[in-house]
Amino acid sequence: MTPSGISKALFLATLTQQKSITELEPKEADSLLRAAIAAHMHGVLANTVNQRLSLLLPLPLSRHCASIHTFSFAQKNQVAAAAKLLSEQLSSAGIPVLLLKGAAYIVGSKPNAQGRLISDIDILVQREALTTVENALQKNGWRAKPLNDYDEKYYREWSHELPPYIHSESGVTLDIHHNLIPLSSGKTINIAQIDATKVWVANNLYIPSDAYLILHSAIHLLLNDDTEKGLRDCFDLHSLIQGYLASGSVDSLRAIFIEANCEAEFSILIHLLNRIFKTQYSELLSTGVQRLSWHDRVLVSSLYKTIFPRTDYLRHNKSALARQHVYIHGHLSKMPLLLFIQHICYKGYRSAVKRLLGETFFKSLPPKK
Amino acid sequence: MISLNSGQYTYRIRGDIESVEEQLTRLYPDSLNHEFAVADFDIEIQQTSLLRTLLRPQVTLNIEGHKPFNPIHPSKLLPSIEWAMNWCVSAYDHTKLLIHCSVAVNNGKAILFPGKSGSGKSTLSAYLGLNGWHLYSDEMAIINLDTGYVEAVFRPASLKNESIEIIKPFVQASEHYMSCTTKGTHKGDIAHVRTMSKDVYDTLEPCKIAAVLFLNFDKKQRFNAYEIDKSIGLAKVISNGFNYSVTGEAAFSILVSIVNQATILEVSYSEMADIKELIAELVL
Repeated sequence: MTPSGISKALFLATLTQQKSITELEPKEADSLLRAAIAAHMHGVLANTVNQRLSLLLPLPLSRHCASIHTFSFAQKNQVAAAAKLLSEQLSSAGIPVLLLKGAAYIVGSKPNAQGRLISDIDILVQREALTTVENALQKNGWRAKPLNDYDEKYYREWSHELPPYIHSESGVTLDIHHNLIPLSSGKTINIAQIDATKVWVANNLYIPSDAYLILHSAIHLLLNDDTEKGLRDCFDLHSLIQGYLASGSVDSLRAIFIEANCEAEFSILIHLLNRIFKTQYSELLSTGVQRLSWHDRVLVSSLYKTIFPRTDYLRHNKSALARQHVYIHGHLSKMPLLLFIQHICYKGYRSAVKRLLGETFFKSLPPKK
Repeated sequence: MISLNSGQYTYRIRGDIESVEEQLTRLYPDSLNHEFAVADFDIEIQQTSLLRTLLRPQVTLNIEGHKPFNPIHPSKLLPSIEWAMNWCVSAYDHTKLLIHCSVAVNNGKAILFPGKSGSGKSTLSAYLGLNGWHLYSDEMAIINLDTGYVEAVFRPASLKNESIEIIKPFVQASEHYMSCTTKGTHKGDIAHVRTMSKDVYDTLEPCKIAAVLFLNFDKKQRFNAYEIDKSIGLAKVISNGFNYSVTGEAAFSILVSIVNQATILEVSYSEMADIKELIAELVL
């Protein structure tokens, strides 16, 4: 028996607190919980529940909310500890630690930090400093995750980050970026400018300015073939942008996108957020944002269909065509057409084998030396 | 789709459940139905691939979007479901302190048996559960962070390889049940044993922890039990914590008071009879 699930509209309405969870039928509340976990957003769900409300909820729901509060608190301490350790380890090599994404939100106490779950720590370093950084990390208990030859080549030649490092004691995963976007994309992010405008949080520890946090999150959402955590990215962006606009202007934010050759992405982003969060973007749309081309309108619509998690607990959620569209768009934004064709041939072969012989077919191969 | 209530948690198990439903119904009497209930955890049995479905069928367990276990043949599903039920709790419930150990209770006092696999903790606790004690949990102690009391779950004990034959003769009463044996899992042959009825489970209350026993099973060794230093005991309990690093300060202070009040022993044994005498004294 397949569950009936809830509509995307109801899912969004409860996460944005336009509708209280206590008004939901038990089946709807259950689907909401399942969908929120699948979207990596049960932390956001828990934020909508205070102590008084939690008494009115079914036990599984209130327990998950209480649990994620505890987890979130512990994660905050652990991220802070890991960031401090990194900043000390890299300080002797003369490398400042510039946190990105989730770790930056948490350490910088950004408005979306509460309940934000992260799986690894991301940092940004100058490309020329990569060897120095890798040496310093290896001296301090960090080990590069073993990859197959193709993935290693992908990371080293075309990607904007190194293969992930794992700390041998704490198990923390570290992603080292030297850019915000793959080198093959043709976009030009001014890394020196991100570095020059970075914000100090502690000794040798920094986060990007709010505008660059927004740009990076937007790039992660829009120039990506994988929108598995797309909705969570949208919630991050919504809260970062609302925070930014409280004191900054839309023009200064757009200027950052234009500088990165991402003006179209800025418009796409605002139109997408408008579909999710409605009224709060209507003023922006009428003043500061371009009309979309025919293709970009279709893209916004495809994105909207694919940012929701693939789960039986959300209705109308099997849009294969939209997923293909976002997949191809994401890849083509990251790499030229010829490279894309090579890449999908290789990935296509692997995926065909997996479909025929099972998910773990490649995992059972002995690691290559 | 079935709803399974372990007393503490409600699980929804969906997908192709036919092969395990009969066994689950026997392991969880009066705890399983086809009605909808808001679930703590959702476990979906999925087919892995097109070709495999025809040639060599495999299923995988999708737990809230995670697949922590390797795919297996549908006939080996039962142990995986039990492992998945444990995994859910350890991954998602941080409202309680979870310690990797089995828990047996007598006279209103609990004994925890943390220990590596092969230490005989499951065999011992299943044996105790079938012989007048109450098996509060086979896999993890669920400890209330305010009271330090350990809570019971209605779950069977898991037995491996030769333990299955050792325990079989004690499965006699009508409230006992031993599942069929699943051969050739990655942990060997596995069977599950229910040691009480749901009615008995419903009378169980949270209990104070009287002792913690670190077991070493060794056929060549003489019986030997000695008390270990409280601070070492504390460190050893912490190293068995599933979510100690998440529950943090609250976990530390409750463990300090538990360890201070409990008897902490290191025990080497080769005969279950020796242990029986020792633990009977611990819960007097």
